[in-house]
Amino acid sequence: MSEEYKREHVFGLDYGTSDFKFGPITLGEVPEVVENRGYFIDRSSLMSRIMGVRRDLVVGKDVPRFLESREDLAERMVYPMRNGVIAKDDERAWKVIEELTRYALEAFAPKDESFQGFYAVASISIISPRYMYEHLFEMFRKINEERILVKAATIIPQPLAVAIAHKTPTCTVVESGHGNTQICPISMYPVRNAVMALNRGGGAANILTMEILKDAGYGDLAKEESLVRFVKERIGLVPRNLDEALRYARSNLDKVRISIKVPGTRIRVDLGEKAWARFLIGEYVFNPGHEIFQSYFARGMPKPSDVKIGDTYFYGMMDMAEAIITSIEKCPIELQPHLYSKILLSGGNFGWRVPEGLEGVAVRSDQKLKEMLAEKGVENVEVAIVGDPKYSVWRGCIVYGYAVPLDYPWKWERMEGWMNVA
Amino acid sequence: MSRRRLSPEDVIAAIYEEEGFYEVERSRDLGSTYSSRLILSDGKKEIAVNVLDEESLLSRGALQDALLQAEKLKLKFDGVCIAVPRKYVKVIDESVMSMHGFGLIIYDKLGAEEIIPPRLRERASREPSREPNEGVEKAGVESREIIELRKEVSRVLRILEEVEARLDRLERDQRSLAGRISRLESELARSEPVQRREEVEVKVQASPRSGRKLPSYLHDNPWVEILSRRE
Repeated sequence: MSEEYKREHVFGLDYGTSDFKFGPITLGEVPEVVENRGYFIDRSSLMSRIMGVRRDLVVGKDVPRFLESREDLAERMVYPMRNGVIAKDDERAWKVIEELTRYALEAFAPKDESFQGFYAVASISIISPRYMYEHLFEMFRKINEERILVKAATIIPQPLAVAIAHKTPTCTVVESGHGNTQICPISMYPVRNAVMALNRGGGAANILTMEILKDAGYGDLAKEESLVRFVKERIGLVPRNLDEALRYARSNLDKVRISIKVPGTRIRVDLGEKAWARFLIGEYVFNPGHEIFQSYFARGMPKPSDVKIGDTYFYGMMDMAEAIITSIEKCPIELQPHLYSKILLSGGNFGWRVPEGLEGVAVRSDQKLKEMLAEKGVENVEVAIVGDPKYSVWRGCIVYGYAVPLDYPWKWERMEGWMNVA
Repeated sequence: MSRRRLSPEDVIAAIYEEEGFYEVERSRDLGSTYSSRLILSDGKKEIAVNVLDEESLLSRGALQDALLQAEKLKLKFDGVCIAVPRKYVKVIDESVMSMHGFGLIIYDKLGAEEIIPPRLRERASREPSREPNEGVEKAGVESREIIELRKEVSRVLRILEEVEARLDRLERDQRSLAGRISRLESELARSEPVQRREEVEVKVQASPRSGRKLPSYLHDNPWVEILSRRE
């Protein structure tokens, strides 16, 4: 097997908390994206018998066609990577991951005889325990039992993939997805013992958006998660300073008020006089410790808690700047200025916009973190939001597979290299 | 293995997304024979974009028709744009477009560009004009819409089948060529002395043998060298 063959058959698989991005190097800049979820069909139901359904599990773009009642959704729909980690014995979650992986590989596997399998580069959370790596390698072997789709596989942590995609060998990557936020210093290799994790991501902002929608009289809509996410992305704002932003919003309601239409429906959402709450959504991602959130916790909104998953602590209420400082301070002092001088923000949870007319009151994620770090006495900081954050992990996978020589075998002590699974 | 093709509507929606607009609707313009329509909103303003493709511009009168339709849209939307393929930009007088408040967008396979921003109207001034006979008009429009959509769906399906067949043929040819080159390369490699590691590293920078352009994130990426030295 030649290097040339490997380079032409590199296949990236990014198991994000919310979306699964996949595809071979030949896709160029943009991978295929489907939701990282699977729907377990009730095969005894009348509908599945009418439709001649033979499988138990549906993944990918077909999922919406098989959805049944809203009550069944919670039980039958499985989001395997919601927390970035899959429990060892969570059979349903592993089944979804296997089915999604097969779906991805089969979608692009050429039919001709010269095809001898892809070089698969999978990317998972930096806090994933070793058993997840073992399970994934085993899964590739199992997929190969039917037909050789993967010649060799490797697994890299998502922050490393981000640093690779953005051509930065020394940096601190803050990757914030749906379920959690990972902070990982990188200096040619990920500095694993300096990793910090927060038990909140875009999902936490969704929960707050639900409460805000309920308060504004949209309690019925607040039950639909995809709609809540849509509303959050359209109305959420990150304040430069929350107290000042709230004062501004209350005296300039016309500038902050917004009315959004949900595509393909008659639904229109308008927070009216409660439009000031738009600033709470963004603030919550960066600093849930602000006193204003206490009233929501008091009314029953779940508070992000500290949890231990595998060997990693996920902090619930620690503010993001504090987490970055704690992570960097675990690295050698000589390295610290370099890590502060390039902080990369990646993941859908940093894509906040500043609408026209609200400049100065609302800010982007990079400005917010820079200000938070300055308040804590950290100067000479460069914070940048990566371009196309949704695709950067997949792109990093492609570069990794393209560059790492095929004769470099997997090493458990370094957690890198190619594992032969064919 | 396939490469995704973006439609003109995709690239146009992308430039407005940066300004906080999102796509509310994408449809064929029912009042016109030539263009498709994209509706974008930022929560406060709604912009309609009439998109003309190369095929439609082959018909005489396509541009006038699109402009007349766009004039009507001014009553319903805060701003109206016309989008044309980049090579047709010279046939449009920008000053006239600007005078009438139309936005102008040009696009090609690589992306879109807003040449003239649309003149935006105040919401209050347009809303009353939507009220009269709305229900009657809507029923008429809906039945016409269904007929048009059915026609469109069968046309698109036909085209899709043809494109898929062509793509299959091309992929078969490409794979057979790649196989032949691979065999030739392995024969060549057997006849040459074993390459040193340094030589392999230099090769890492080269393009894949198929001659495809490397993606931007691989160009001048220091990680390629760092990772290729892993041993």
